[in-house]
Amino acid sequence: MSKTIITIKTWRCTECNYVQDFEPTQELTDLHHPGTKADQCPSCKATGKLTPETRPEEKTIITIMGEEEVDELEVRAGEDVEGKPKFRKLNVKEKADKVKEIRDSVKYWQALED
Amino acid sequence: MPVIRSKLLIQEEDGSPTGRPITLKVSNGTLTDNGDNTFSLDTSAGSGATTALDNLASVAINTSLLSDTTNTDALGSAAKAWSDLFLGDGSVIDWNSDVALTHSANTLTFTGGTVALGTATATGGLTGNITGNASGTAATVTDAAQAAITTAANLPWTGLKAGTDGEVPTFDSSGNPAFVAVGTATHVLTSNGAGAAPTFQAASGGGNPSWISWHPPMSATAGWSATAVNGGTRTQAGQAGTRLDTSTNSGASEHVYLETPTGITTVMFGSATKTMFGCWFFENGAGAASTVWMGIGEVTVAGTGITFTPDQAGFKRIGVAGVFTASATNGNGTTETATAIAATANGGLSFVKDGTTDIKFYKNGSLVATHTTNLPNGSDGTYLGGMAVSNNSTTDNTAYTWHTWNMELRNV
Repeated sequence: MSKTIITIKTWRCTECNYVQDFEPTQELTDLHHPGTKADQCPSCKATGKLTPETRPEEKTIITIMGEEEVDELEVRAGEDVEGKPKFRKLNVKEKADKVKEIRDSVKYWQALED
Repeated sequence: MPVIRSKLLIQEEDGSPTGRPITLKVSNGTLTDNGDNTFSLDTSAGSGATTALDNLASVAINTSLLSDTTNTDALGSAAKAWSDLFLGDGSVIDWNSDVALTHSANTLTFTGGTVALGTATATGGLTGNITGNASGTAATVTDAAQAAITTAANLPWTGLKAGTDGEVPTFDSSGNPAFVAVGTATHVLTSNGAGAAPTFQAASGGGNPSWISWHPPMSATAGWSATAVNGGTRTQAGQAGTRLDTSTNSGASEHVYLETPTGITTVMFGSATKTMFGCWFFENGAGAASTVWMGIGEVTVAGTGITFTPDQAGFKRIGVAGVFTASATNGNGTTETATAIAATANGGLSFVKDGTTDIKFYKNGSLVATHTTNLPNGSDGTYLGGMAVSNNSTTDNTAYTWHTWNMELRNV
């Protein structure tokens, strides 16, 4: 399966074009931008208001790697005599785990597609 | 001589009592000897009540009503209660000259002591205005009585209503009383600036404090590694900084990355670290179809393009048929999150990754995006990051130059 590309809900400032990938509720805003009110733009606070993005090309894009890419993945395998890192391909179990991770990610993000 | 006995019958109108007594006693001053063997009884002489109050049917009380002793006789009893009590203007109820209730127009004044009320309940309590001191307990104080409370000099802190242990009283953004929620153990109270309540947050620098900063020279190759595909080149000399060219060969790329110094195995995107990156770049000429990336992590660079799903965070600029889109990007090894920001051909770009919370992206110092999804977490620090260009399988030369590049890693 090749790459999966999905757009998800996105909130963008009406004034300064600031963008974020989470709903600007007060609870989440307190976590990510303390001192900012819900729906208020954390970048241009004075005038901006965060609203859901409706333009498809301006929404947050989620790209999930294709399963065919797993064969090309490498992981670090120590260092050579000069201290440079060495790499190796994934073993069978690591490949199977990665494929499962890809499929879980596709399933998760497809449920959030906007 | 025989005794002649009176045969005069004495009786009240209703016939009781009745009799033929030898002697009839009347009150002094009410009997008159008429001199003709007759006597007159003046029944009109007493217009007031008798001391026994036994003539109230025909007279009224016209003087003070006094007991024959003090503090002994009761007015009424538990079994024989009086009904209403009517008092005149200015009248006084006096308790042995100790305390008194005195009437004046629309006012009843209590003097000489203390008014003690029972415990306030749903059906009892005190309503109205208080002039003077009040003590005791109250279920609630409402309406104007609250406004009247302007000082509480003797109110002890322990006298306040019990709350949740660990909360801190404060005022919210509207100025209303509020509480700061209980923090996590070891967190510290941190100001969030004017107009916002403080919050408990992780103490900066706690645990294993460290702060590592890299500011590699852009004009020297030391510490940098490069990977070229199909003729890509790098130029690192002089004050011009580092320039990457893909060349005009079909499907060419160049990738330059800063190596981790030998002996350092820093995890760049660990959950307990704050990672900061900044650079200033300039486009020397980008092909109509091209990709450029700058940031931290291990993107996969090829002549066909750049893959952003590995653990990475940074910025990318992609040209498609001459239309360029700039994005903030990050990947977690499987999935990438990207949001479009204002397209730019040059300028200062930076980001701050805050543990597992978010990544904030800045352009020329202004916040342009916040990502909370697919944050990188697995990079082993082999590469601190770098920049890359690809001509996306075309024969156009794509070239960018970086004049500054720096990165900081802090345990937080």
